[in-house]
Amino acid sequence: MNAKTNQGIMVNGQWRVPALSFGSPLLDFIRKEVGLTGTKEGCREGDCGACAVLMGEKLSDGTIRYRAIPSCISALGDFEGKHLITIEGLTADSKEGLTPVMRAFLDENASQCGFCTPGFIIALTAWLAEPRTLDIAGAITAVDGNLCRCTGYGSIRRAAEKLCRDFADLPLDPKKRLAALVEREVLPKSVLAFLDGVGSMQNSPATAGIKPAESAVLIAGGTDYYVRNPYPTQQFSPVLLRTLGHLSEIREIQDQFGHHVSIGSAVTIHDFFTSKLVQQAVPGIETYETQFASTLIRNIATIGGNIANASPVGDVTAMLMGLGALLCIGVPEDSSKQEARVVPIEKFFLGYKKIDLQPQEAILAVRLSLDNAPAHPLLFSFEKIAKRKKLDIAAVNTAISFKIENGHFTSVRISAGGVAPTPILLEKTAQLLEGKLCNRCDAKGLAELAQQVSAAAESEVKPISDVRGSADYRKRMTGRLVLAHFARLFAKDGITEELFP
Amino acid sequence: MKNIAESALNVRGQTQYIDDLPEPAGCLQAAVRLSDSAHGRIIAIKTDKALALDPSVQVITGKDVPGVNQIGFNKPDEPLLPEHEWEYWGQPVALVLAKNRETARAAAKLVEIEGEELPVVTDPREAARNSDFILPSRTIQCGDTEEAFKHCAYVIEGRVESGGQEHVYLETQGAMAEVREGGKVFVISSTQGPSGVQRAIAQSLGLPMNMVEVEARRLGGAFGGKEDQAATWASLAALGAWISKKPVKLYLNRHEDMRATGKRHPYSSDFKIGAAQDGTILAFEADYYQNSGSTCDLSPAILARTVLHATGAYKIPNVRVTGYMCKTNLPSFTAFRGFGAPQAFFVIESAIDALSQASGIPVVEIQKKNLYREGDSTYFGMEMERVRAHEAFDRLLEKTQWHSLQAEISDFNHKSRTVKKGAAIIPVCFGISFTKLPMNQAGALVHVYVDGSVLVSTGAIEMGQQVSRKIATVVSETLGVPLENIRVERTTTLTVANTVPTAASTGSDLNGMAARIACLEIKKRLAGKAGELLGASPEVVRFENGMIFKNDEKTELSWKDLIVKANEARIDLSAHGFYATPDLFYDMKAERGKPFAYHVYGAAAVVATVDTMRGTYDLESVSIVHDIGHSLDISVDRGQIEGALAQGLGWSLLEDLRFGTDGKPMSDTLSTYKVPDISFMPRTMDIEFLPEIENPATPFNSKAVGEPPLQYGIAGYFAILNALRAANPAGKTFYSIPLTPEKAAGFLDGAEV
Repeated sequence: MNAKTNQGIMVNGQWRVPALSFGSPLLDFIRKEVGLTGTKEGCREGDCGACAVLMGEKLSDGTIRYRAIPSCISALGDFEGKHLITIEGLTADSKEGLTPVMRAFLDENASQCGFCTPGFIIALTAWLAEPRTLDIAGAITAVDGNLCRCTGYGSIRRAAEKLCRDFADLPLDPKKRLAALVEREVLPKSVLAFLDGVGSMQNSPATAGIKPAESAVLIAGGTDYYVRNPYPTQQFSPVLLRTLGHLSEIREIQDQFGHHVSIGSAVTIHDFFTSKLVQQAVPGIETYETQFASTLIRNIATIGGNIANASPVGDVTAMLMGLGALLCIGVPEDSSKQEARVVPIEKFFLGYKKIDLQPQEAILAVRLSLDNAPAHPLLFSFEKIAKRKKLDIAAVNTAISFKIENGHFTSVRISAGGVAPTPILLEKTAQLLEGKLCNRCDAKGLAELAQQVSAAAESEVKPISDVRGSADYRKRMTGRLVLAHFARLFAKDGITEELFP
Repeated sequence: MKNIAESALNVRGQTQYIDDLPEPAGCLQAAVRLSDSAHGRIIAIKTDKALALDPSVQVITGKDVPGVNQIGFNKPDEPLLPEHEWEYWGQPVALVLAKNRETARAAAKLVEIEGEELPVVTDPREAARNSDFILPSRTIQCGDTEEAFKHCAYVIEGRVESGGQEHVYLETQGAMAEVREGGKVFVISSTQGPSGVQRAIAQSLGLPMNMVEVEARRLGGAFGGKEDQAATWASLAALGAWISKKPVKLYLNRHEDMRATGKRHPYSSDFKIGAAQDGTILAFEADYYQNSGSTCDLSPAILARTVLHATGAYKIPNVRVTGYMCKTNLPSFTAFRGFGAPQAFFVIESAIDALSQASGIPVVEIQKKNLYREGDSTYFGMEMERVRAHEAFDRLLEKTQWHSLQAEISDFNHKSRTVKKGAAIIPVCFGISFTKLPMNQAGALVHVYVDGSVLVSTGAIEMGQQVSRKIATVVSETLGVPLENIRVERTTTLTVANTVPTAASTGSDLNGMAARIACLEIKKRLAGKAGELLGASPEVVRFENGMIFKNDEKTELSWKDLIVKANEARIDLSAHGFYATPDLFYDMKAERGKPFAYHVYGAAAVVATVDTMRGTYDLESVSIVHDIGHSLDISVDRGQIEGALAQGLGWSLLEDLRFGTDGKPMSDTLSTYKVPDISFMPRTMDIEFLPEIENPATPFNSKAVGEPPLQYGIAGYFAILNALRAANPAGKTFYSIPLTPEKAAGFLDGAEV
């Protein structure tokens, strides 16, 4: 790292102060500097999971949690003060040199060429460590960012099923669960050392208070930056958003006077979807989490990064746009937050990968309205189409939100991604729906309206052709997905039967 | 008993692949400058800027190759580094060495290729129109198709497309080379064929093969991609070491690997099928336009397997099939599990689907009626023995309760509005042996050390197919020694020479037999000594579980004691075994013979659902009945079947290899090229094995397992097609792999695909 470093990273059982620049991909530190080659490089774009390692960290509420992250697209400097466990570290205290996860892989013959195996074992170890009831669906989600080209996943699934059975009795209390996993040699004893040690430490990020050069690259999660720049120079010194310690606003999700929820731009995608406050603002949003990238990426990618990356098909961006989110933009080093400007998300995108952000500025937080009275709740739906259902970039995505007040559609917003150089709002289509009668007893009428809105959406977009889909396909899918919004939101009202007689 | 030593290394992350090996002192890192257009004439390669980047930078081009700048062995059309012309986008044009990988990559970018752009062809039919073929076409004929079509109740013609497929071995291509004392070249390569790599290095460096040693440890996957194509990277690393006089490592990153290396051949094919009123297929014709890419590579052998699998699992009396190797400006397409057969299977199954559509006879009825039977001859004159096509097919129908399943599906589709279901079956009959006859040979070296432990080295490369486990099992059973006493070592050209690549599903057949022959030789010598010690004739001595038996009675003499005694008596405890598959012959002129030692049979049924709102699909279940003979290791065979199925489903549905019309690779990252993940796979994979059967060509009546199950994935295509038909009976059928959601939505929308 550099002189800014003060604490280092706990790698397996040992604290180390990295020599590599804090902007280096974490994978290079693990393989080249520490010399642990069990963590593999499979793609350097977060698409295979061979580079997964466990990250232990202390949360603002004091709890310690362990999650699996993709080290190839993570910034080394983000791991200051954290605990990394690699495949080698898992067996540090195991008598036979095998953890139960490894043993399950052996029993089910779930490792063939072996190159992907460490990543799978890390991902499933993280799944066991998550304080939730174990089931096979959870295990499958846990490895949705891991590719295996040999097994066809049958044996891996059987190994996970075995783990479900063997670990059904794990405590749900986070601390007790970690202790139980150490006891059963799933995790090494260094977890206990980290639990004990880090409690007394200051959460003191590496770059706090350092004013970066005007040209410095700002990295939130890095999961897109490192895909585009897999080999940064050794002098690469980005500003790491989540280490800006004095700005808790950036890292936390806060209730602002019951009026809106403020989501820090460095909040991870996983924390966003699992936040009770976010779920309060957008009922049902958690059901869309697994449509975004993979478990590994959701553990490190951020809300702010997804927006600022300005991909025309960012999934969370499309959702936030459909929800009418506001962006709070300011200079992170400037503590006078009052100067932050507030920009509606749809005004933030100026052109392909062009955004309304001045040098040194950053998105500090995203606001979602909490005005969600039970009488007229917010209805929200998100749809995405891609070649593969998990961990794939959309050909088209879209979100819709509206309320039904006095039997009419109000506050209608429809977004679409993958149909223009930026994510866009389908304003004409939304206008068509705005104020229209919503008679939930008239399925036929609703279906007709849905068809009209779908056709309007289809004609409002002008996509281009690329490897993810032809222009014609994207156009048709925009219409189909808008129809799917209605089918989902009015399923109980019998709309499906009308739409598909 | 399980031999898990290798797998235990894997799960602990201790297995060392090329990039994990400790580097020798002073090791330089290599990078390649890849061409950035698809076809051009080289005027000059400018290196000044690259050299100025760092004093450690060296740039090596084709003119620096000391030997013959040529690594193509089927046809000399593949320079190691081109001196005159580049022929595809991503072709290595210069090798760059530097102190570290970042510098080498940065310098490689600074190497300037000054050239003149030449016309680009990417479509195999366009190449065929220009008569631009890699080698002459190949036709197999039987009976008289023209005459037969005249007597058919149904004659249907159609066109079939199948896309390429990227291997996505998790470990990318790479090699580490050093020049040792006396100018001997030592290379560790991630290759399926160390002897081929050795030969390419020797030729390009101008050395005799005995000056080049190539070692292959475990590979992080290969699937055919490291058969011939590993030679490029190993030869480049060796060239770098030779010129720099320092150790050199060349390890491609994923993006480079996906651009520079070959993949499964895309095919564009025409068929004509004729059948009687009852669905009996009377005649079949096909023209396969193989997109061979820029060089010959393994294209002729792959085309051979296509034309030798043209009728799938079916007996057809009148056949005419022709294959063309069309030269295009794309990466040289190469071996990929299935090796030309999946493309042929897709064509015949498409033809049967078209026949069913035209005649109204259900596909399964046509399939069943035409399956090979005992004693049938193929259209290339091979008499089929121990045919199990009906056995597998009938068992599958019974197991899936096919007819009631059809009724259930139709009922489901009647009730369900936004989800439609479809099912399909594919029978498989896959010939085992290299279609290139001289390749059906293998060697093994077995040592017994004085402590009784056994070490085996064969030509079989361990790349995830767990061939080491199978060979260890063969050795253990042959010597009567427990598995834990046996170690299967990596392959090097020092221990076993002139090996054929581990490919064509033959790895454990050929190498297992060679190891068994070596073990039998050692056992014969030991039986003599044991007989002497036990006062019995060698014929009544038996070895079992580390103990010596006399007349089926366990004696006090253990394997370990016997070995000590044998060594003291100066008995050779090592043996080399050699195996050549017997009775193979093929007359290339007449296109008649017995190119395969035996066939593997099986059948698979896939059930899939289509979301008619979004045009997406899910694979619900797969049922397989498969012929593995006597399994040497059930869990290994199961893993091979499931893995091959995943790749077959991926190829049929998901994996969308794209190039621009200018030859630019469009799907050269894992974010643009998607392979099956865990949730893509069917929730249930039910695999049943047919009872054991005699199979004299292999150790202990086992059967090859690597490639045959890949074909099962094709059933996924037809299951989804059938579900789409249920959603839109007016949809226009197309036979075009992969059946992506885009194509599925096109079918639903009545759009042109």
